[in-house]
Amino acid sequence: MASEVEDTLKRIQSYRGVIGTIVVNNEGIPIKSTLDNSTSVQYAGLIQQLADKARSVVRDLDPSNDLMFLRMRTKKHEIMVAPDKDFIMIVIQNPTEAQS
Amino acid sequence: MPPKLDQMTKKATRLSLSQPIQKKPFNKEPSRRQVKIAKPVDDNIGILSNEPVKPDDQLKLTDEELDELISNVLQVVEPTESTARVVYNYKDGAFIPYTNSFPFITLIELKSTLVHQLISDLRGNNNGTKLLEVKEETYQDKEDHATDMDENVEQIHEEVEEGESEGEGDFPNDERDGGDEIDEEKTSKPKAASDSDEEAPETIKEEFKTNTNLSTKQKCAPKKLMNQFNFFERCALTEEIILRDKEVQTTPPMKNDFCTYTTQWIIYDAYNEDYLKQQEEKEKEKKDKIVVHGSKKSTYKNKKYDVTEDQTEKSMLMAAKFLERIINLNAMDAIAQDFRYYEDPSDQFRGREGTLLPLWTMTYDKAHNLYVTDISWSPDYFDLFAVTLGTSQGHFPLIDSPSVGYVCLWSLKNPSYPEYINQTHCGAMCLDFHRDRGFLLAVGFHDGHLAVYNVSLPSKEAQYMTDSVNTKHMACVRQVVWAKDLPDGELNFYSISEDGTVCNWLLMQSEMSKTIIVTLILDIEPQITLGGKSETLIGRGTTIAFHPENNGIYLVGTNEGYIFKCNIEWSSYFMQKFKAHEMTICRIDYNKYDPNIYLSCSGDCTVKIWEDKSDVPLLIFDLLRSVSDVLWSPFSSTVFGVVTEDCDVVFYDLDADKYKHICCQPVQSDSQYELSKFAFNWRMPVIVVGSSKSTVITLKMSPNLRLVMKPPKKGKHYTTQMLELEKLHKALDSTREPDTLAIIADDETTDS
Repeated sequence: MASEVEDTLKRIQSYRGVIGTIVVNNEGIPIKSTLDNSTSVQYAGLIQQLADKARSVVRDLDPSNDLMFLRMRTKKHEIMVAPDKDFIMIVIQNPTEAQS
Repeated sequence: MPPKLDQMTKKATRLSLSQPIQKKPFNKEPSRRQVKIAKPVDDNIGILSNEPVKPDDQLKLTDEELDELISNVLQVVEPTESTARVVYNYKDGAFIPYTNSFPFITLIELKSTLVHQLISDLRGNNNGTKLLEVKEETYQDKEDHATDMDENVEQIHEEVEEGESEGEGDFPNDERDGGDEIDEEKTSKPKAASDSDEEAPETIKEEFKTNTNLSTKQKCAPKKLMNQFNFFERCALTEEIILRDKEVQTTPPMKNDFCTYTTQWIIYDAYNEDYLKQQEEKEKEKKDKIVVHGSKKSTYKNKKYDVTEDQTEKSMLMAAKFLERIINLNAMDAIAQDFRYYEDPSDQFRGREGTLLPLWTMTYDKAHNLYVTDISWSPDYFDLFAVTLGTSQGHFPLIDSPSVGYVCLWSLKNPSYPEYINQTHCGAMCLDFHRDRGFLLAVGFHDGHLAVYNVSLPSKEAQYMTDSVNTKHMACVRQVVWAKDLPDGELNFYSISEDGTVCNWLLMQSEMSKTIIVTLILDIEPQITLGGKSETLIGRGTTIAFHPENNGIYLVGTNEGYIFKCNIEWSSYFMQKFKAHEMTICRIDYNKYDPNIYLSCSGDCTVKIWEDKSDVPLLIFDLLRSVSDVLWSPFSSTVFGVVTEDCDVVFYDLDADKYKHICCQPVQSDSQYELSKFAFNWRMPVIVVGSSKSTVITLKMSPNLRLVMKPPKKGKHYTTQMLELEKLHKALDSTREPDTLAIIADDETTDS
């Protein structure tokens, strides 16, 4: 199964418009990244905070609910975050490039 | 020194004590005085003489001797003092250097004894008191006769001391006194020298006078001194209990400041966790009880660890898949939008003709040279379909068969990669989803094996698999169809193979049990004779279609172009058997609205529409190219689609035109491609077309391809079903012979 995850991540990286993939562990440390170190650390730190906050919002509204996914459409990119208990997966995509 | 002392003491009689107070302590020792002063008192009784009282043993000297001058030399000599004196200290148990703390130097020490006197001896006491009185007297006159009195007292003292030493022995306390006196003697010697002896008798006189005067006073005094030695202050000093505070310092208990941030959901989670734990414990208890009975133990811990490990990976995979979908959605946003919302506006101006809009093209790269041998939509999810990848149907069995095949599940949400991939041991030829259990997938293989997969499980192992040569089909399995569950809930499906048999497979506990339903015997000439023995020709089944309403009846198409109508009740009898096509029949499909109408397609480039119980096709469509698949549209009763090997998707609408297609769209212009199979989605106006290069193309039907009769708003109420049926019959009526039409159709339906 581990290899399946690896494969999927590899595929994700190969898609058009994908700028970077970061996997962050539960301590906020990027354990796998296709971006350079400083950028991934920055993304990891900031996104983790955001994801925590977002989850808190969702769960505060309804404790039986949970945050599954977070998409941030920015002017330049779309940041996709899949937060989990043990890790956070972050993918940065340039959607305009992807569609062309 | 003692000899010298004698002399000195004598002289000292005349010396005065500068500090009469010092004498006081002596008064308190009357016992001494008693003795001393007794003598003069005794002598006094009669006469008062000027003669000095002489002791008896006094040395009698002649006048000459008396007159002899004795030179008295006063020497200033500091008596030697022993410097390195030590004293034994009992307290310390050692000798310590002696330091003289007193303001005098001991020159002589004389030991004396104090003797107790009984109370009855009043005389002595009286004397003592007398002495006391005398002393008191003298102190009263102190101011006047200070010096005289001193001398007197001294005198008395001397006498007393002499008396003591002579009569009663040593007085311990005297040592000091003696010392004192000698000291004083020395210091006051010049003074003493000036004093005259003549005064002495006078003072004594005075003394006696006062004695007599005050005799009355003395009477009450002696009592005070009674039992002077017997008096004890009785007291006992008990050992003092000393109170002590005993304190022990223990190590202080650990202190922790605990602060945390909590929210509603954290509390909710905590409760949930606790609840789960409780449940688990309960279960464990139950299990323990069972274990006790069965005396078995399982490795619980290892399992648990695996589960958690698995869980993380599972969730990771989920997240990754999710991300992939979203990325795809972003990347193929336009297509997704089209899939949902695009309706070709040009259809309005095209009459009845329609178009197909290509959406996604899905390719599994690893199997790029395999045929898509079957496509089936999931009954549970409208955007999920399964394909089997294997060898072309036209290939000879067991020859040129690739040793690999795949079963893939594609989701429209992720057109870039299959949701589920299962590699099989050989080319997978056909599959079918169970209608009620959408996770069960029956798959037929090129080599005649059959398998049932549970695609919801992570394991790729087949749930059921024909394992032995005896049970499997003898040739390529061409189609599998799930049948309705048996009354007792057992699952079963039918398969048709090129070995000419239709089999029913019953899923048992761990294996599939095979029942041969029918063997397709082609009862035709010429029969093959092998060594004089005639063999019956067996039709190589290629397709099977079950009657949608009557489960027992099914149609089988063969490679030879025959169609068999059979009933599962009778294995040796065909309800109908006729030559339908000149070449391989690829598909037989019942109309979705009227089960009496079915169509078949064949490699002879024709598609034929048949009516039940009739050997004559109602309609024949010649497409002029090999047809690989045909299916009735689920949306409209009169529409069916055809895919041809040279990459055309053709749609016919009997209602619009019985002779001309309403849509013919090339899908892949590449000459390498062949289209093999296609399938209508049951919900969305979408078809998927499989090709020979393992690609699956999704096409959206334009509105004209799925025109549905709408019930009229006014007048009699008709359901869509009825209207569709009517439409179909109307379309077919013209092809039927007018006289036989109604009667035959009705009879046949009732019969069947």
